[in-house]
Amino acid sequence: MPEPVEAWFFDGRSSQPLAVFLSLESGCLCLRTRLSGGGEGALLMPPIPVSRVAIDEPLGPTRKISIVPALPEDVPAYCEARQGAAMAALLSAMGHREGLAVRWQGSLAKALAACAGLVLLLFAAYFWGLPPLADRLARWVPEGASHALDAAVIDSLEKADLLKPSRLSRQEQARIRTGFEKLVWPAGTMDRPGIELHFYAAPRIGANAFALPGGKVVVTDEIVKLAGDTPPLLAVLGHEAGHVVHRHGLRQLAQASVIGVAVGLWLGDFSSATNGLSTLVLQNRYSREYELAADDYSIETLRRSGLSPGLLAGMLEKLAAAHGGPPAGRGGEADALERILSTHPPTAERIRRIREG
Amino acid sequence: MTDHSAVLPAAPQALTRTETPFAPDRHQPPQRLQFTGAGGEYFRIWIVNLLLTVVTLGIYSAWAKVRRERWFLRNTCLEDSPFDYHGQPLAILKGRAVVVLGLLVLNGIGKISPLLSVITSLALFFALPWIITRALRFRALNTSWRGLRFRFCGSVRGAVQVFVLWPMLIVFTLGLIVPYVLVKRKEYVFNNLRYGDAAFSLRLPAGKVYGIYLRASLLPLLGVVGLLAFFAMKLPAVGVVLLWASILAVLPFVLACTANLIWANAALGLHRFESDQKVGELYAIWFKNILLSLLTLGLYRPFAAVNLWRYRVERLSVLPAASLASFVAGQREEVRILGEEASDLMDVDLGI
Repeated sequence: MPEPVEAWFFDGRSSQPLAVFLSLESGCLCLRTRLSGGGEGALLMPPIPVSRVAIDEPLGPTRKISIVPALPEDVPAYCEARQGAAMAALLSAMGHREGLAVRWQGSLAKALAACAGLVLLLFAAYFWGLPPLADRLARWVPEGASHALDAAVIDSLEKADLLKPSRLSRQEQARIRTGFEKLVWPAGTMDRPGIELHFYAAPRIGANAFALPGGKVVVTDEIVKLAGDTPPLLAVLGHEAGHVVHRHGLRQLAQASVIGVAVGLWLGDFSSATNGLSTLVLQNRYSREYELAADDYSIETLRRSGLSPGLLAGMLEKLAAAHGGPPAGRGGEADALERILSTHPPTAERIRRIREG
Repeated sequence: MTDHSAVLPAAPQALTRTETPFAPDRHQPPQRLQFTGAGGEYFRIWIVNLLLTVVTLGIYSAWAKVRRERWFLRNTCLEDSPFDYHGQPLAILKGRAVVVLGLLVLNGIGKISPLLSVITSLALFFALPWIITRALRFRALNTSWRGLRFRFCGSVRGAVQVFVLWPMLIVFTLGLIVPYVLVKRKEYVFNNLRYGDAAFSLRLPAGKVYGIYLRASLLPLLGVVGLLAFFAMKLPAVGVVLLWASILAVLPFVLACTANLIWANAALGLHRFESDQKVGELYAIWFKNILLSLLTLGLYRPFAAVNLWRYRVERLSVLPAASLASFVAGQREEVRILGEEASDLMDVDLGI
């Protein structure tokens, strides 16, 4: 028989503590008053069956034993006792077992194991869990929303005077569009993703083509001139089509949102500057994979149409030259830093990858 | 009923505000609050919470919050009796699900249409008083000491005044009214807080609050001057960083002084309080917390939270006007009705 445990009883009606002894007799918890001399007084209330006793998790210096009220209108009462050997004996006599989380917290070794497990889990989620999740989320975005987004982006670029009406003739544009359609949708394919080419003159942007999440691809007059001929231009347009077909824009958006929320939860604050920066770094890895995937799509469509993937490599070299300086890739620290912070993998790497097949 | 007088200290009649004028009972010594928890203990709880939260994709976070609040409150003792937290994980989970969903939607909307994002933010701003009132009610009702619960009785109308109307004046007064708005907020929260059948009250002297903020704004003013200077030197980023640093640097001063001032002017029935936080000590704690958190990439955060809580708790004392055993539970009806509400209330994580 475990010895009686010294405790304080609170009846829930006032803040008055009552000194009691707790003991277990024939499956019932007995509360007896504690007299000033240390002796045991009479029973405070009829013995309480163990089924009506709720034992709280061990938190803090005392252990709380609550008495579940028999009727819902009754006020819940409880006892509080110091943790110790006597208390532990009483609890095990009552058949109480600590919960899983409590047992895990008990030892530092287990806590450190939990720490390591957490880190591994986060790595796994980032590399393997987030892409499919973002893909799912991207599919849920209604078409109307992504079209609205595209329109908004083009609108703001036009207002900022970055996109001006194209100088290309209608026949020229139609010719490029026909070539593009033959490239991306070989005759007979019914499943056409909604990709539209939009031509603009953009002296301030220069030679460039970029795809927006909803399917619009903006093509500048300058890149048409840089390509010189249609096939090299189609190689670049195939790359942009790859972005649309694989929904890279929407997936990027979804990933940004999820990463933003996750980083915010870790840092405990949803709108800090550090949040933005770390989010940016974490997202860039995805951008690089998307660029390489778009390159692959372009190569695939070029081969399918009987054209050489070298056309894409050639255009990348021309673009790099047009935007200033030979393509980077001398290796070393500067390159590594650029790799981490930039959204595009270094051009030399992409060119090499294309030429090697 | 058996006679308990043999073991109980004499329990005087509960004093009510109308009966006797305030006179501190010299036989009742000040009772300093104590904190018995250690940072290492909380670290273990925190890490297990984090692991289970990630594994369950955030669902466990509600249970994690309950365990965290209970650990902090059950290690906070007044007269050897700890406080307690009774929040139900399911109610918290409901609240959190709504918040996370809302954030994802807002994030997405913000990127698609800035106009829509502004509209939704405005709508949220006006819904804020209702949300805050519910959060305060939930938190108060789920906190107890010696079996008696706290209660928050603030009306949404009061919250609208304090969280929407008064702050709208900030723009018109070029920010000069900010300390006064803070006074109004603290008073709103305190004056509607109850423990058992006793009521908290707070009457903050606005002049003293302005004094604190005036002294605190000296450094940020230098920061503004520096900002303009750096703008002129075409280094705006440095200027912004310095301004933020200057504001951060005076925060511990403001927090310590306002905490001391608030507790000095607060009362629970006829009981008074005293807070003796020292600005220097708070700076030391902040510095240590920030430095170690940065060095450990955030793993020190649980220890930092414990350091701060322990300091604020152990600097707080109750100056009893009568025995602290003399509180009585509030009206049975009111407690029962609020009790039913508690299971429906959503708990929203707000830093109030």
